[in-house]
Amino acid sequence: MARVEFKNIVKVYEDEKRGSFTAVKGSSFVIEDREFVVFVGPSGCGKTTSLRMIAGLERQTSGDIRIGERVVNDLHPKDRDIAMVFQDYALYPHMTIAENLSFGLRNLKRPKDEIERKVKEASSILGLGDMLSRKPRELSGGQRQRVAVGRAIVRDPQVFLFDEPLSNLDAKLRIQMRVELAELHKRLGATIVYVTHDQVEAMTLGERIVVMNEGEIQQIASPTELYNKPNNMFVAGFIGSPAMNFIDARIGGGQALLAGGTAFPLPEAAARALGAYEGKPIVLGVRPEHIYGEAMAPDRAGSAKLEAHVQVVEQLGAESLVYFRVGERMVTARVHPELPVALGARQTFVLDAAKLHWFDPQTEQRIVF
Amino acid sequence: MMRGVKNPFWRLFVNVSLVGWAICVIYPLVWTVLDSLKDNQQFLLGKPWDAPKLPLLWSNFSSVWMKYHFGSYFVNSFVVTAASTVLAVLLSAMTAYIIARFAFAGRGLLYYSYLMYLMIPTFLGIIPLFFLLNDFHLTNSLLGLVIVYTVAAVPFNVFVLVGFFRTLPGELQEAAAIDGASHYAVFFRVMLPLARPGLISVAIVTVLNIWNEYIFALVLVNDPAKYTIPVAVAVMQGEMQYRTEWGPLFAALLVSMGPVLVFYTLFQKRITGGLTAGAVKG
Repeated sequence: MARVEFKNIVKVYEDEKRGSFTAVKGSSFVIEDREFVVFVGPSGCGKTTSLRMIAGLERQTSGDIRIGERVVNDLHPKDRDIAMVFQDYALYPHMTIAENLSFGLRNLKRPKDEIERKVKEASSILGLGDMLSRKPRELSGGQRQRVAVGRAIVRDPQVFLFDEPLSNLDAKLRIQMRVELAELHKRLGATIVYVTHDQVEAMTLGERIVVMNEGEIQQIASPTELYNKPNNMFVAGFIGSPAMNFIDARIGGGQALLAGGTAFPLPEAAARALGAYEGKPIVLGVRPEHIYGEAMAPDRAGSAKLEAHVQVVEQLGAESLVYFRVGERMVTARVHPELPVALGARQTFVLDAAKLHWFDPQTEQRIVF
Repeated sequence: MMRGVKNPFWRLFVNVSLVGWAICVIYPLVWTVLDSLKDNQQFLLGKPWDAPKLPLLWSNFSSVWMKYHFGSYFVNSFVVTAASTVLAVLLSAMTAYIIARFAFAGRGLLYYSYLMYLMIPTFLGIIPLFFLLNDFHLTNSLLGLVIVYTVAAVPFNVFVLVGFFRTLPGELQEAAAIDGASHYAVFFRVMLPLARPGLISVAIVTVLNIWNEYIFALVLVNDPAKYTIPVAVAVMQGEMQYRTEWGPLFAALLVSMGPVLVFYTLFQKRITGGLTAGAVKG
């Protein structure tokens, strides 16, 4: 296995008709040996382009990519010692499963007995033993995905690359495959770079997550850190489901004055840190799970209360999502399903004072204290 | 198609037209079969649609095969058709793959130059072509014919196969490259097998065109030992102006048509498929 390093990577696509488009704007990071790193972000953020540059399927415009000790800028994909699992599986339809699995090893001209042994090992790990003589079209989506993973495993590469491998599976199968991939990583102890636009997948699989937007890295951190200490409003809004609520506010006299007229006293540390914003606009970020109905608020929640008319209630069984408006913004609260909530009624909610995030509305960066 | 299903008058018109067309095609065929089994007496004295008298004159066929040397013409045609088809399909598949899957300067020019060839009538180039082949000592040679047929077949095949290769998923090419396959291996072991339906279709169209080709064979080959079937039939027809052996002439026509008919029957669907291959995805 090996570490992967991006050093000032820029990727510009030139198009005669549409001009140039910068897909990756100067990325630098290191993926450590045996680490499971997930690239996540919305469509067009540069995550797949970054992965394809590691694979050698795209050439970066500038910067260096290192796999292990080698700079691989000019190496053909086959010489990079990587394996990739594609979104659409990319199984060779005219070959049997066994031929698909062994294709890479046959290209490397490995001895026949070694090929057979490795195919057998991979197929037993992935439960493909009785399908080896079948063609891909005879397999279900989940089985095809396993074959695609198996094709990567048999190669025993330095780095595994996954390009949205679960996006074509139904919800149930996706969860199952997610668990299997996490187990596989433990078992193989491999360096894995995984691309997804699904933040749940990113949070459950990644040891570290690289959040990207419009070609720029927004934050690289563990899932917990991303959730608890997002660098900016983009990361805060992207990580977590339902997304973090943003409420326009002002700071005045040690109090937070929320849009819509509600005010609550700030904890001492926050009041000190936000002193520079006295009288200025600021954005309050609070996750839906940190808003409680007054009747069920824990004691530690503090005195940050706001009143609002409930507009929509979604009963999900284990929890309820309550939607109400604060100023111009719609706010979501994830509350206990037994909290009595009436549509249209004025209800008091309590914000967990220890879990509030404050953002500069100009820079959208989180105000750290 | 929808119109045909919905409007009964339109449907009737289409069906009557198709029946008329089928008669136009089948009647000379049947006439040829009947007359190929008659002798001159039956041919000249009887009515055209009279059935041949028993015993049937199968000797017309053996006479064509042996006396008129159609056996060796058949072999010539077979060799030329097989060699040209294999070469044309292979070369056009390689060209089409590069045009369809790789971006490079001059790609459009290359593609359109193939299309332009399709728009230029062959007759315009036949005299310079003759002198060119003559300079290379390739007239009166099956090899010369193979080269000409191959070159002539490539543009249409490229046109069809570019469309076909474009519909194949690019991820397979990338997956193969990552799996350690060289460009050569990606083409021969992954892309070419996937393009098989398209290859079969263009191969069939090529076979039919070459088997029936007359003009090039007539101009470029003068040695009777090197005649292909279409030229041999034409020569035999010319001879019939002085020597009336109508039975063997019709038998010769059947020998020339036989392989084409068998081909058409076996690959009917593929032939129409070949004309639209790559035009739509899927």
